[in-house]
Amino acid sequence: MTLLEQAERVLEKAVGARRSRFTSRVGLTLRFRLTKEPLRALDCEFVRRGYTYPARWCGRCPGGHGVGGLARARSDPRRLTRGRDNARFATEDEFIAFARPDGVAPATLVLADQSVLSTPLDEKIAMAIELECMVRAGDDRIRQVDSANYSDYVAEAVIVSTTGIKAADERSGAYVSVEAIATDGTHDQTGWGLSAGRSPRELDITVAASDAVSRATRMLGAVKPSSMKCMAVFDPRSTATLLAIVVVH
Amino acid sequence: MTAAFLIEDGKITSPLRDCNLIGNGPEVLQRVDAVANDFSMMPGTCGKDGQQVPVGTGQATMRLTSVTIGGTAS
Repeated sequence: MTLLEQAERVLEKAVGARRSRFTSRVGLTLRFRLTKEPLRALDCEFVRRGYTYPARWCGRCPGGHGVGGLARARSDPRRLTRGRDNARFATEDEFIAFARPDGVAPATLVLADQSVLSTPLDEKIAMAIELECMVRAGDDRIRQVDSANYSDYVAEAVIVSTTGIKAADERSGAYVSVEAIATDGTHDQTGWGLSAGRSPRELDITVAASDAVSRATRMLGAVKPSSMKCMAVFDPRSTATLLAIVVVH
Repeated sequence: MTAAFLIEDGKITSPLRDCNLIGNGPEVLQRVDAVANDFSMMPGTCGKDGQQVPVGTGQATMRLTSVTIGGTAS
């Protein structure tokens, strides 16, 4: 039985009460971080987490909101009972309303890549180790790699409601990141780099390593300038930040 | 600004630190005289109430004809 079918089954039990919505998410996240030396010892912190996110049965008074139950017991009717009970105590909020289908077919997006699960763990660890090696070899001024990380996830979520909403979502992701420290003998400077994608094969550790080395070394020897009025050029990220500040304030 | 660079004769030279941009935001934006064609998006996530949606933000390289930089007195 798919997650969507399970959600619809739960929703059937809620019909006849208030408007109801059921949301469920399941997923698996893998994270590990290389922080210890010697480099090849594979003495890494390894964390594997299996998440079963809370599933919600929402009974809404006019604007009220009630949540009950956990997805671990998907067929547990107590979830519905708890949701209804919570809704009795909910405060009204005129700005909260249930979404209704607008008749527009949702875009078909392929956001999940199963190679996240099929890629061997050893390959993922090797990517983090290689990333650390590349950063260390990238510049003589790199004195330390604070950490090299690999992380990925796969997740599936569904939403069904008595107003007719029925949607399923599946996605995956992976990234590597690294934090480096460079020194010129007087000052230290940190730098980071990352590469992200839907799967491990989309990751480019060369880019992540290069960015970390560049960011850690480029500001070594920086000085505070004299006050002046001058022409200024902003890179894309700085431009976005400047505009955000100006627009918000 | 935590990271900036001096441009001399069209080339990036020495790094600068701990300097501030001083001025009125809307007025400063009237001094934009060039926007490059290197627009790029950076991915992110926005969400509330346990829901998340992929979002992006982006800009291109931008040049101001004049802006006040606050640094040292000398």
